[in-house]
Amino acid sequence: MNSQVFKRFKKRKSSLIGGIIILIFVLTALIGPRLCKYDPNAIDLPNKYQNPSLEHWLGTDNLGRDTLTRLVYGARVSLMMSVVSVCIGSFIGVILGVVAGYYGGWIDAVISRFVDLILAFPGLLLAIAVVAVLGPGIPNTMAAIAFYSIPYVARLVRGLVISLKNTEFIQASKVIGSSDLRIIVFHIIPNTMGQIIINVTLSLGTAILTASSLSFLGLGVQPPNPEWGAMLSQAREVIRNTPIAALAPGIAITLVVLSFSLVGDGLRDALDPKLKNS
Amino acid sequence: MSNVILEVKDLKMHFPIKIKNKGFLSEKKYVKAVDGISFVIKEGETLGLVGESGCGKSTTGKMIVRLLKPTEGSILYKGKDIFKVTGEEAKQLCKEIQIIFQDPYSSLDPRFSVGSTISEPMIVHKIADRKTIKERTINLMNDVGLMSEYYDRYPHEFSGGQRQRVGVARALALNPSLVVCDEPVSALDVSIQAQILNLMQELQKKYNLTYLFISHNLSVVKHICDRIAVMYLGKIVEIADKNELFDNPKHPYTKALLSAIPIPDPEVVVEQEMLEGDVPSPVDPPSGCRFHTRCKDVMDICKKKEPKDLVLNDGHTVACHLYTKEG
Repeated sequence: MNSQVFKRFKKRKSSLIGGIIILIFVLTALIGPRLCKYDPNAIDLPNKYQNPSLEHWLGTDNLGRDTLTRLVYGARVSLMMSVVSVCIGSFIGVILGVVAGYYGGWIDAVISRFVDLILAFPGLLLAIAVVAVLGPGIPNTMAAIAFYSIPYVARLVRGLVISLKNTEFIQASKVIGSSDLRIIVFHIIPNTMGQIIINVTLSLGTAILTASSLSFLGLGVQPPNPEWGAMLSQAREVIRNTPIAALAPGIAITLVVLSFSLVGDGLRDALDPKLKNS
Repeated sequence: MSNVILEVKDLKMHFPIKIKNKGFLSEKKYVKAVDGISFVIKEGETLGLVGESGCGKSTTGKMIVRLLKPTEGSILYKGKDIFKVTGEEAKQLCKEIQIIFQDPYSSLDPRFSVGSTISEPMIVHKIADRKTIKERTINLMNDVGLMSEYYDRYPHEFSGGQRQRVGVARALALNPSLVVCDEPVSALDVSIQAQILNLMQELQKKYNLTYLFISHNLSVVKHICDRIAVMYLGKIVEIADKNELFDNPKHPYTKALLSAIPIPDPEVVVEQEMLEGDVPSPVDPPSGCRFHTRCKDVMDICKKKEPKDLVLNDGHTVACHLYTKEG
């Protein structure tokens, strides 16, 4: 069955390319820093605002730091932040969604209203609000992103669980005396996993974008840590002289977000052929 | 006479629905899916429960396996009320009463292999260690005519008939005494129906099972059942032994149903008693006898008074005013 999924995934060339790009970024984040000869935070004022050269492939920024090195280190921060926060957010979202969908009644009403409440705020605004309360920094940015990805997952899972709850195989499991926990863990979650994976992949792109936006606004990752959004923010002032300093992180963000989107679409078609064309 | 295994007493199941009136107030109404039925099932027999769709057959079956809690009335299994037992006794009851579902495509978890589907009940009840459970699962698979090589295969690799065999094996995994069969063959091809029915009869002999066989297919019911109960709009209108019911139907509804069975011979011309109109809504069932809107023998009393169950002879019970007068 898994080989079939992979076959269907491969059929969509754009998703395959997206997957390869993500793979390259992940490898870069893992082993790239070992290959860089510069320290990402080493200030080299005489060589500031340089355009690309053999010494500095992507030039240097306002403090003479090598842009390529910072980009490679930044991939680490961006990918790690988005993966961790989306996983935490999805985990909480799945629990809330399953509980709301499975038990229904007032529990569902409370959780659903809470979810509606969060959804009423635009995503970035909510993330800014969370950071404003907790203060800037990597862990708090992750908390903000996790928090705002909860409602989407919770709502998705709740819907899936409600439709699953009344299927005959769940009823059959009830008749043989399975506990609620057993039904949820062995029957309901595995049957929603495909959708959850798709949602996680699609959220990863959004999460990177949100993290970058927060850093761009100065609320996320703090200097001197290399982060794409923060790099973009710093390079914005010198965009006329050394456009490469802003272009490089901008292109990186665009590529990763786009790739996650493409992979998510591909996974949706591959894991759930029924959803296609709908 | 053999022992009574299950006794259903004045069972009612009313589902609340909201009907929007003009303005803000919504009036609460009830769908009377099952509205006061009583019957008994004797050990080792097969009781057929027939009726049109929407008459409450499946609801009754689901109450017997405790998927639904009745609004009123009680179900006694070997003398014990199944909705009042708790703890260990309730667990025991799960083992005793099992169900085979109608649709073999939705009754199996697509992510569970055949082996894990059949062994799940035994694992839940921890009846043995893993190795014994696997052995027993393979035995069960042989019993229902599945090859043991299928143990690790998934439901989507199987045909409807084979899937239903998995469903049967799962129901038998805990050695139940009573099996509720909720239209177990109506989703299958006719050629496969016969196979599954024969399998069920073989298993009944082998494991000394009692069946409650829910169906709308009278030919199937005639083939497999010992006694038959006919339901109409949440009520049982007639119960009798199979032959008695087919040879000597009393209730006008039963007569109409029987005349509607197709005869596989184009030469035979049958005079059919066509029922006119539709089944009335179970939200506002007709007054008096529920069948009076469609009955060709309708009398004045039918519209006013609900007929009582009348025992004619040797277990033949009918609820109709036609016979109250005579007796």
